Amino acid sequence: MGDQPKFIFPNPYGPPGTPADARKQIHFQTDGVQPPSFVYVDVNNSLFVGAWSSDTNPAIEVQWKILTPKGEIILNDQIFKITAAPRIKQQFSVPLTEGFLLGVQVFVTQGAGQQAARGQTRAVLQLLSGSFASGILVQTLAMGMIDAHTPLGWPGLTYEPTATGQGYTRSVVGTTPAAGAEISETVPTNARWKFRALRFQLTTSATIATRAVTFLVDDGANPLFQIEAPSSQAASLVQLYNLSQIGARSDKVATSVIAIPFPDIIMGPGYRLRTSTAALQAGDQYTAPNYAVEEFLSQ
Amino acid sequence: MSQWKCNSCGGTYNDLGRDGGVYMHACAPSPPDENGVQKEHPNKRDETIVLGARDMPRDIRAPGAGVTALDGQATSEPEWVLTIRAEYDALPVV
Repeated sequence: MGDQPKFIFPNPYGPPGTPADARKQIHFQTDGVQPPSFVYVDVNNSLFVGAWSSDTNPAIEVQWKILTPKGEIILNDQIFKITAAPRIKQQFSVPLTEGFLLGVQVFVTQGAGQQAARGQTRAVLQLLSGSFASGILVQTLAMGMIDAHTPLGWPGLTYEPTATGQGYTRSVVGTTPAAGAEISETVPTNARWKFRALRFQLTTSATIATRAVTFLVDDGANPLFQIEAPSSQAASLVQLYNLSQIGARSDKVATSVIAIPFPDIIMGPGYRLRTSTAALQAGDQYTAPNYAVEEFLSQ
Repeated sequence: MSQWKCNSCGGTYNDLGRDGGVYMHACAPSPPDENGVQKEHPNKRDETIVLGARDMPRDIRAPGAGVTALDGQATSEPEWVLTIRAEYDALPVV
């Protein structure tokens, strides 16, 4: 006969031939099961997608699934190119079939030239009842930042305010001013910048004058912050100016480098970073400013 | 990426950054006068976007005296500016 295996614990499946759940304490329905979703949609509803992006030629992909009245699960997928101006909201709608919405997600599809980086693209998923032009947004499913590796989805409700988390780090080469002109850089529409670092150079002409460089932040009209360089610049000199969140102003005469402290300031749309140079001469020349900012979408 | 010269202030710039992001030029204020007063550049160009109906991008804030292409491109404005204008003009009237 041979030894039979002895079970120290009851065999969860019971003796051979026993139904798998016969010994379980919880039993589940297999007929008449209610859909695992409380969102019921019909042909008057659309999936409404809003997206903002500072990326180049951004495109987003939306995927969703619906449980139809016949019990079929329909999967669908659509790619939208965001052709609106940078950081301006663009809206898309996708008509839905009748049934229970089981899930939806949106993410950035990384195409040629796209950065698809964190902080560049934001999306909102909503349900629209009625036409695109005059319908009513009846429910917001999710809202937040997306990138090539971070989707936004529902269920798993997500609301992410614009200024949370890490923004998009931008390295910008600004405008090279004409001779005798100042530097000025403007925060774009729907962007917010956290200033990180800035560097520019001033080459003074042979005209005798004492140039004094002041750096300002304004809101497009009203100065909010200004600081003078620790030393002035005479004729026929090349001076490099650096601004960052450093401790104190300093200048290194030997290397002609001037360091200027700058506050950890958040600048809104239309704010400006600019110079104001006393005794700036017609032949003086600023280089284009190179600067680093952390950018957030302001909508 | 194309290089442009602002006909208002003479500044030169690229319309796209190294990361492909759009760069929006705006003329700097004039240097301070003997009283320390700075004035906005006359006929200032400002490429930041203004929104129109339904919060759609309509145009740049101020074209100023326009721009001159430095790379030989045939368009009168950076491509992204022309695209905004064309898309806004094509919007259906509600």
